[in-house]
Amino acid sequence: MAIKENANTNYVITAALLLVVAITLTPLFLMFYTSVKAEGTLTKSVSEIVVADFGRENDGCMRVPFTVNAAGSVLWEERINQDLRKFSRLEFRYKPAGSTDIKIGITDTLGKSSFINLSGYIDAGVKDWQDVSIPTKDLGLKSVDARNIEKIAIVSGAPGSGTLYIDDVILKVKPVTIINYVDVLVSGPFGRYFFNSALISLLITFGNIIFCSMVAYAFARKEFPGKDALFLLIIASIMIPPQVLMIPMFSLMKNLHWLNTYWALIIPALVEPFNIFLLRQYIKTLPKDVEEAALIDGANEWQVLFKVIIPLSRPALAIVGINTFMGSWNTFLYPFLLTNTTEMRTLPVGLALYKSLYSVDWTHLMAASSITAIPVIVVFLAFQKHIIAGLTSGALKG
Amino acid sequence: MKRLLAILVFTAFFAAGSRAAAKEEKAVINFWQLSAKEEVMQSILDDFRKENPDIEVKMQILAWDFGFDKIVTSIAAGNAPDLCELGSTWVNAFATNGVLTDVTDDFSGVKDEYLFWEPVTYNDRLYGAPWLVGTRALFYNKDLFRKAGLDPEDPPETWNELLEYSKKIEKLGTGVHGFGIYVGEPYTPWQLFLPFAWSNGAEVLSPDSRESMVDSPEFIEAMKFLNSLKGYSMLDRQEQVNQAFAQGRVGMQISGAWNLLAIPHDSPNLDFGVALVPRPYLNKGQPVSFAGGELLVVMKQSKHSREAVKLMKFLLKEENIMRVVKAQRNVLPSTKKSVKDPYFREQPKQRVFFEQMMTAKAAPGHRAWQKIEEEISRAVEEMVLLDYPPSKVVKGADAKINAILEQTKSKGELSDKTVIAIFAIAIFLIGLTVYLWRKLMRALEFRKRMPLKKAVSAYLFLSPWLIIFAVFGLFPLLHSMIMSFSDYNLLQSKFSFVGFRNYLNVLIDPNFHKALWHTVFFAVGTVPFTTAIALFCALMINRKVPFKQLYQAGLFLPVVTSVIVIASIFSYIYSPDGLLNIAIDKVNAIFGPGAQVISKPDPSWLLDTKLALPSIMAMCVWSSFGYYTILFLAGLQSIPDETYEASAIDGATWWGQFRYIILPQLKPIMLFIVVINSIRSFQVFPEVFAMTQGGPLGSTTTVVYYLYEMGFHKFEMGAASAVGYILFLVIMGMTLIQLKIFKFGENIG
Repeated sequence: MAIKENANTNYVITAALLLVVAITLTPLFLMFYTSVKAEGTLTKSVSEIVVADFGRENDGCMRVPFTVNAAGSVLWEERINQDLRKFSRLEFRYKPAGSTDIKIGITDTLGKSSFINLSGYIDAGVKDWQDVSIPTKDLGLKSVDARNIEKIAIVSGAPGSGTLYIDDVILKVKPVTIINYVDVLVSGPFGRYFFNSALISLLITFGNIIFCSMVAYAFARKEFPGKDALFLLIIASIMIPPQVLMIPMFSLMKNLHWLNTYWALIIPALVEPFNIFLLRQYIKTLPKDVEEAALIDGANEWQVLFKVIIPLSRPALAIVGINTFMGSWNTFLYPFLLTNTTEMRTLPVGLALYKSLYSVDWTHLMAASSITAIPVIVVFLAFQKHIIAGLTSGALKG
Repeated sequence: MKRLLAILVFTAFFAAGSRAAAKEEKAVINFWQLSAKEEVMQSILDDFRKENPDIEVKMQILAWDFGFDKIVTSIAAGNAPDLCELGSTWVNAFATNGVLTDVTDDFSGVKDEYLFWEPVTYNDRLYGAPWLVGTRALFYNKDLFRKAGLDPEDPPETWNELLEYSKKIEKLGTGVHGFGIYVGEPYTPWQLFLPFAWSNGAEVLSPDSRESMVDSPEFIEAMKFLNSLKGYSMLDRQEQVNQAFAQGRVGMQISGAWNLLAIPHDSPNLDFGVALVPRPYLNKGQPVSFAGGELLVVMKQSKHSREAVKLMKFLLKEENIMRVVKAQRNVLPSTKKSVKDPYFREQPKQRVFFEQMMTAKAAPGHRAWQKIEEEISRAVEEMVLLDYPPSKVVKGADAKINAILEQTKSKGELSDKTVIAIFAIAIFLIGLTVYLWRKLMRALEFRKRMPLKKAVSAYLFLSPWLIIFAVFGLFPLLHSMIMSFSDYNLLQSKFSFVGFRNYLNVLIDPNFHKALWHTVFFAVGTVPFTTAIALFCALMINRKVPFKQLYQAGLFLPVVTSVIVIASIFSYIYSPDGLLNIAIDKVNAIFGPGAQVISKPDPSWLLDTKLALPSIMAMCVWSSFGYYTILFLAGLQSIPDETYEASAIDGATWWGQFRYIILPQLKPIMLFIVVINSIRSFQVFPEVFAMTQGGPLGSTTTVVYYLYEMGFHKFEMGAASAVGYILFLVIMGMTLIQLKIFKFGENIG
């Protein structure tokens, strides 16, 4: 199909195309990348959070001489107010304190604590400063509310005395994590949203396949009064802008008591005029002999439809099904207007409404976006040829 | 294989989702709130459930941005929550429309134990109770004070000091600001500014609430003061300023107690202090701050109002309020005796907030307060973002507020023309039905040769479409036409006939003109670009290049992605620390340190009145051109190879081939693309809704967003329907013009 074969031009063109595709794909890549980050963004990477450094110089450390009569006396503590699931390790510099047992632990905002012995992480043979690194999973996160850790503390394990030296307390951030997805799906509403989107999209797709076939068959093969007028009406209805119907739809659903129910989202979308148009064109191209043979054999029209036409129309039906599925999954306007509660919302609506209380939580927002986008992307990549074929055939007639 | 993978991934997600969906319980009381964290509320509700085993409580947490919308639509839908939290500035709209339950008898006895009854008091009756209160105090960064040569233990107490300190801190260098002024969202500009006006003795409304008192020397003085701070301040949404303050880039901010939680979370090492808000002079005025808060109300619609009141009283017990306060650390209790709670002794910063609460002032109660506060915010933004002089914005706000007060005064009773309207509609419909029936009979007569049975059978096949189209297409269409000639209040469901008044009001509304202009600008700005880029890419792909499928897939992925997902990603990219600004920094760096070859917008892409709409347009081009590329490709592929070869033999150049072979072939497709693209650009809504809510200063309001605001924020359904029809006519007209132009071009070319 080339106009002029020219190796150099081809390289330039390939480069240009790759650039364009890079531009289209970068935002999506950004979304996925951010969704698995615990902290920070593509542009502002946070690899660690400093809990306490007690002053810049190495001598600016925390030095606490102590004499305690019981276990569990606090020697040092610091408020951190963090979600500990985001971090992989707790690190600090330490100088052994004396002959007493030392424990380190965390306390959550409701007061529950979990402490572990420091001895497992210290080389007792070294008497000077050493680097200590504790994996956060060792800290007993399951016994506290890991999402709301208020303090880190160092306490005595047994009565005794000594001097505690500690410096440069740091929490290291996990490079990748699925906590955003977990938060949003399991403890957040997105699991429900996903279910709603899936249920509604599947029902609408199935409905369209059946009902649009019925209507298209009538237009393709039958004669009846008003046929041309009605077909014109179908085409005209594609042109009605949804905004004109926004308000009366809301009012209608309210009067039917269908607001915030699945009915409101499914029923109006069960028969899309565009699909009728597409299927009619396709059915018209089918050879009539199979149908006529079946009719002669005594089949009624319904049997012809379901046993002959529909199986023969599989390519067109595939296009109808896939496009309808993708369209209904992504649709925003009516699910937004017609639903009110978490139980009934779909993914795009839930995503639009998702904002956290304190600051814009990009990582969670991107995880929620990814959940909304992934199914459609997967379906698209799997059925790419069909989708594009469907588009082009529709357009060439238009 | 690909399909199997698709199915597996799908099932995995589905399984996770169904598990969450399986936990369903039958709810008795629905409680909606915005302020308290899930965990602490659930534990309070668990205690309530233990004491009241016959009552089931279902809690839903709303987000601030759309909470108001959701509550409004739920009332209109008839499934409002039983117990609900309302922000103090929202209560007005609901109380004056009569949708809240009078709870005077339940709470008059304990009135003195609580602060902040003003927002729920109307005609000496109580329509709710105060739950959590909040105010704003001055935060200051002690490190920055030291660096600027200021005493970190001596925060500014007067306006002069605030200005001087801001100047000194601003001098500290790049990226550091002295103060923070909030813009780009509806509530925060006036919440920051009005306390300055109040502490200077100014008022918004006259004592009888009939006149605007905004045009007064004290008010203008306060405006001038804010204006003077402009040059030494960070201008951004409050969230962004809060973040910058936490990161040590802003010296002082006047903001709420939530920062006491957020700052230690983001920067545990920040050395900051909290003080009372500065006042005009040491011997004049009070340190007045903005008093806000959350109130609990019972909706009149509730079928379980006694149980709801029970829950309300439980939540308002002092110890339960303190549980929320202690867990959140960003709110204050409404219970007066909590001042003695040892918690406040341990939390000196919280105590400053409680002190500030004593001289805090609440917005005046007025049914149109939401519209009035919009005008004040707008005045602040015009002065700060567009550099209008203070006296001008004040006079503008004064005029607009008086206009709003006029409107609310004459909002009289709804007339009883409803019956006449219904009669007219009924007659019209009967006439239509008779007409259609006779047409049908005539058609059937002409086709007498066709047995009735066959026609009926055909119609049976058509029935799904007929029914759905009639009920969900034709009927709403007619209904909306009728509604556009009427006055219909969403909250009260009352209806009256007003003729063409809605259309006239819309057509002369300057906000509608702006929205229309934005929409046209949007279409004209995106359609040519999208078409050109799509054509260009299609031409490139059309050559014998490898990986064709890769390009098709890559270009098409944005098209299949939900609009809302795209809006989220681009909000991220356009944010001040986002990808775009970082890229610009890198490009600037190539030209040497400190170079500003491309300048970044201040404050940010989506907050600049001139750049917000183009930013959204760029996003729409990005997300749609792949679709049109595929269409062009289809057209290009229908040109047979021989045509190219023949013309090459005849000596045609590439440009010649393009002009005489390709273009004519593509004309029908190009027409299709331009028409579809234009229609879609005229219908832009979800992007605006998710990214900018029509702002800043209405610069991204498109016609459909204007329609939405008219119907669901101002509750004027009739006018909103009129807008829908006007839009429909505009689109049809534009499409016809486009068709004519293309046909014209065809005849010539």
